[in-house]
Amino acid sequence: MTANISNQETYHDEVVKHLIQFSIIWAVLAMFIGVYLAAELIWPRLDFGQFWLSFGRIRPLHTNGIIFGFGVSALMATAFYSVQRTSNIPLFMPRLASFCCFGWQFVVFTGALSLLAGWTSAKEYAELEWPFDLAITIIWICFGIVFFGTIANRRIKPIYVSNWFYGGLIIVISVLHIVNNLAIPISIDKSYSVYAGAQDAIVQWWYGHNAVGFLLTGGFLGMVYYFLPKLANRPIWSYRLSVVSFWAFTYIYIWAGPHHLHYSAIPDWVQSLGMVMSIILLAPSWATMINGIMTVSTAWKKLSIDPALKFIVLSLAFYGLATFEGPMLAIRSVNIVSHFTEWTIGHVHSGALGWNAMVTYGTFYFLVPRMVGTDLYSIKLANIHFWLALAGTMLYILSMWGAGISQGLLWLSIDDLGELSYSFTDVLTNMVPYYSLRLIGGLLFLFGTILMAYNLFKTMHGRTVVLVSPPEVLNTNRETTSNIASRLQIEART
Amino acid sequence: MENTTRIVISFLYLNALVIGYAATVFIAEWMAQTYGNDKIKNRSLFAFFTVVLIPLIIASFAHLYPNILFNVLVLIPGLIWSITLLYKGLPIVLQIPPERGMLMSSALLAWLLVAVVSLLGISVGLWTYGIGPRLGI
Amino acid sequence: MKIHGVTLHRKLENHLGLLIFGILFVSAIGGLVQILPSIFQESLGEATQNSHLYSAIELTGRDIYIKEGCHVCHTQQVRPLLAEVHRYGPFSHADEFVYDRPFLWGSKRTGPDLHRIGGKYSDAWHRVHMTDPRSVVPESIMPAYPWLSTSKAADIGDIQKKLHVLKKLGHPYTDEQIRNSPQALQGLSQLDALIRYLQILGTRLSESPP
Repeated sequence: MTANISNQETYHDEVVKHLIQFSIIWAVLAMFIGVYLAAELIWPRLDFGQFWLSFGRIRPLHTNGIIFGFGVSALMATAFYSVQRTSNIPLFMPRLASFCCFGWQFVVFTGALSLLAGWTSAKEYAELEWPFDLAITIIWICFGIVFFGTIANRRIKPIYVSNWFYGGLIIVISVLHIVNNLAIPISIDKSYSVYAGAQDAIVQWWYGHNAVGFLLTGGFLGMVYYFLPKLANRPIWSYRLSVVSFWAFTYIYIWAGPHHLHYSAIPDWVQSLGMVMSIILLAPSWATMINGIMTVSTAWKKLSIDPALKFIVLSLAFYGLATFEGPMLAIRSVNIVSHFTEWTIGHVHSGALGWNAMVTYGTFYFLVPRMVGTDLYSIKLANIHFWLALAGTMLYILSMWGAGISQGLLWLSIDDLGELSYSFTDVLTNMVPYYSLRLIGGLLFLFGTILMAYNLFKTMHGRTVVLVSPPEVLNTNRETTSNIASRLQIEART
Repeated sequence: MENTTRIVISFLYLNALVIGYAATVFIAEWMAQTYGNDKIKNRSLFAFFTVVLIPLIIASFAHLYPNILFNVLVLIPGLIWSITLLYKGLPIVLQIPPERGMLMSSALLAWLLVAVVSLLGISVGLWTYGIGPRLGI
Repeated sequence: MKIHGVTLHRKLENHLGLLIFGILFVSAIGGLVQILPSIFQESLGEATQNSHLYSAIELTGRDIYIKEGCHVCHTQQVRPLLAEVHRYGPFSHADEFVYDRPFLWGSKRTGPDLHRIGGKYSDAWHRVHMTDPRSVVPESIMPAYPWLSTSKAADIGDIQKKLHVLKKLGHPYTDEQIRNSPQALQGLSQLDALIRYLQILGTRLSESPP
């Protein structure tokens, strides 16, 4: 790190460390619940007749734990880390940032308890009832204040592209969250949506799809655009491409929601529009993937000493798969068979496990040792984790492809007389081998995550965050983005 | 499903697999340059991928016994074996460092996953269109 | 064009306010185009002969359905496909859902679609099925809900307040209905209310002429 004698200020990284720790804990907890859910689908008596183990109540625990616990904590951590360095100034209002960190964990934790108690809005990924919606809004606004405040005070004039993605995350999720959760409260645990029926469906899936788009995709792309060049020690392969795809992404993704509602009671034209835009979305998504792969392909020398790179490269591969499969599933003639089946679940998890989890793991393996000023506790464990993650993801995807296509096909199958060939329970009993395989995949993935938790906590044990001062930057007004990229390289080498 | 339709479908899938196999070889050749090998010869990659696929080809005889669990138990180890061969063998065949081979194998895996999911999508699209099993749509 | 594009990019890159505004503007378009027309489209929001206004008991049952997460495994949208109409009944029309807050169309069929379940099974069957699914469907993977028969329907929140709020949102409840609602729930278990809800699901449409 460049020593800066005159400048006493240091980056605020303590909050980053806390957020990473929380993110890892949520990953283990929420994935364990996922594994339990998978087991319940094979042995339904695993709820032992208890409401707090009932599938319908703990499923949102899993989704919310992953998205809001694991995902948002990781995004907040990396956003706070990277916005300081790309703006060349410490965090704006660091105490507010700490409030965001601990406040968020409190909200997610108590929210999880509320879900167990049956407080739910029944809207996917927006299940938390109105008190939590309000709390989320407040904390999210604080997140925005810290993030944009830091950029507003920046010492480098151009705003680096990773901040665009994080900014998009903050802004768009705010709008989605507020609009979709509008409801009239009855009591602390219940409210009624201001939207009803088909209208509610359109609003919900505008929200639902863009929660995936701007949180699970956009936010993590912000992570990629900062940490990938750091890892690879070179600038983004094509900065221009990253900017163009950002705008294409931000515009197109919003339209894709109705592909969740094919052949439902919403107007046909809305469905078709959603389908077409989903297909067009393939372009900016793959442009991003290619950008990422070309950036890291020359950084192979670091692989033997740095397991992080393995995870990032594989995450880009799965990103490519998921962003190809998504548009494909959005096509009506494919959707007829895939809708409501395990194929959708497989698609979700190819993204969640293959892309989100792996890119986060890679980033954590890279970031944590550097933040506490030491080497990773065990490279060997990280390598084992890599193979467990790959095996787990592959088994999950393949089993769900098999299950989903079977279900879709068999449900729609009619015989020569025009009668249904299979009863619902016929198809259900055929799912057991696939469900079993998926359980094994999930267990492998969870086990790998636990190894990582052990590895990283051991790395952090007894150590404090290294204090880093913002380096001197000359000619801040004229610093171009390629200069920022070069400066990032210099920092990475020291 | 009538027998003739089954034969036609089997034939089409066999074609899809052969085309996929050839495409994988050509894509690997195209990627080889990026990952450090300029002088790759056609035949060695054809040979390599044949070797990689052998466990899966043998395992796929399990399809003759139409039981899902049995197929899963046979094909998954076959798949693991094939992927291991891919990751271990690629750097050897291309004479590049293992780390570079690792990156390229991951890129190839991405291509293979996309190819398989495309096959699924095209199949379903054709079935919906009417070519294949009778669907009530 | 290219020069303009680059200049615009430089402006956005250097100006936080412009960037924020740009993101807001670009991301708003799709939502406005897809959502606004539906808000004003009568056929999606206005009640017809196919729309069923939930009674106090049925509404309570629906809220129990939500609380237990039934929508996580069951859908309530029969698609206009031959096999689906064959399996479940007439496909789902938009006007059947105008009183559904929130909508419960679902996104996954771990269990069968329930939109036309009304009247298909007896109350007694539902009672046994909810308490132990495997006693009536041996292959079922549905969880059991034994606590529903021992909990009171009246415990699921203030029914008068609920009806009052819904009336504000446009559901045509009479004042008398609202006044009498707590009485209606007296003596009923949560299981009773849930079964009442299930038994009216999708029955409205079949009453109308083909």
